[in-house]
Amino acid sequence: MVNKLWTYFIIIGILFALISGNSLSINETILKSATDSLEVFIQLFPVIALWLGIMNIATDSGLLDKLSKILSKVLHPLFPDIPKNHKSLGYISSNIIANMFGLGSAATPFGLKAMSSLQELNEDKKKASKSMLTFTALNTSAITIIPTTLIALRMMYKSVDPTKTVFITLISTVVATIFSMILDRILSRRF
Amino acid sequence: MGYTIFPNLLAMVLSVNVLINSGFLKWIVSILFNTISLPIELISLIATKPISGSAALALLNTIFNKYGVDSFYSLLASTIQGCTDTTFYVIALYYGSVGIKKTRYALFNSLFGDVVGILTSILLCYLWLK
Repeated sequence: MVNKLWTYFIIIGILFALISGNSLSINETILKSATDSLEVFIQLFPVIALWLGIMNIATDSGLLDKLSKILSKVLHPLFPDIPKNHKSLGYISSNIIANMFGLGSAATPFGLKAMSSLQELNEDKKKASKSMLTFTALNTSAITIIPTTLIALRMMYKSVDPTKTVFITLISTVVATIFSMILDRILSRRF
Repeated sequence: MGYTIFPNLLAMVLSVNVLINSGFLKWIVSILFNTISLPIELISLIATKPISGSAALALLNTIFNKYGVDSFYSLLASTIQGCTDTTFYVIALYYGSVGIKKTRYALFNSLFGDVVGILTSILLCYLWLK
C-alpha cells in the first residue's frame, strides 16, 4: 500500500505540473532528487549505525531485559487478556522502551515479535485482538523520552541547543498516549 | 543494510519532491488550510509523517536548511517530528506480518493519537518557545 503511494505521488505531481505549466521544475526535481537522497543517506547512515550498536550493547548487557521486566509490571493492567508472565509482555515492553529512546528501527523487530506472540493468544486469527489493538495504539503514540535521531540531526546542523524540544515532545507524547488509551478502552467495549 | 535503504530513500525523496515541486501539495494545502498561518513545509511534514519516516526526515532537513535550525519553525518541526509515528507503515507492517486483514479500529485510534500529539506540541511551542 505504501509503495503504491509513491507512484501516485509521482503521477499526480507530473500531471499537476503539466496542467499548471510548471513542467520545467519536474525535470530539475528528478535530476536533483538523486543527489539529495544520496546526501541524506550519507548523513544518516553513520548515525543509524552508531545507535544500533549502542542498542545491541544494551541488549547484550541485559539492560534492556531489566527495564522490560520493570515495565511489564506497569503494562499488565492495560492488557487484561494476556496471561501473567506471558512472553508477549516482554516483547511489548522492549518495543516501547526502544521507542522511548527514539530508536524506531530498533523497535520494529521487537514489535514484530510481540505481534506474533499475541497472535498465538488470538482466537480469530484473521481479526485483530483487543491486546493487539491496544499495543499498536500504544506503539504509534509512543512516549518519547529521548528522540535520538532528531537530536543527532539537530547536532549535525550545529544547533545551539539540540535538546530544546525534548521536553515538549515528552509531554505531547504522554498526552497523546493517555488520550489514545482512553479511546482504546471506549472502542474495545463498543466493538 | 545500506543497499536496502538507499533505493527506498531515493524513491521517497524523488516522489515527494515531485509532488511538492509540482505545486500540487501547495494547491491542496492552500485550499484546506487557508486559515492556518504555518509554512507549507511544516504542513507537508504533518501530512507526510504518518506515511513515511524517511520522507518526513527529508522534509525536516529542508526546513532546517531554509529557516535555520534554531528558528521557531524548525523547533516546531522538531517537536512534530518527535511526537508522531509512521502510523500507516507500522499498522501495515505489524498486522501484515501475522496475516491479519481485519485491523478494526487500529488505524483510527493511532491517527487520533497522532492528531492529539501534534495539536499538543503546536500549542506548547506557541506558549513556551514563541
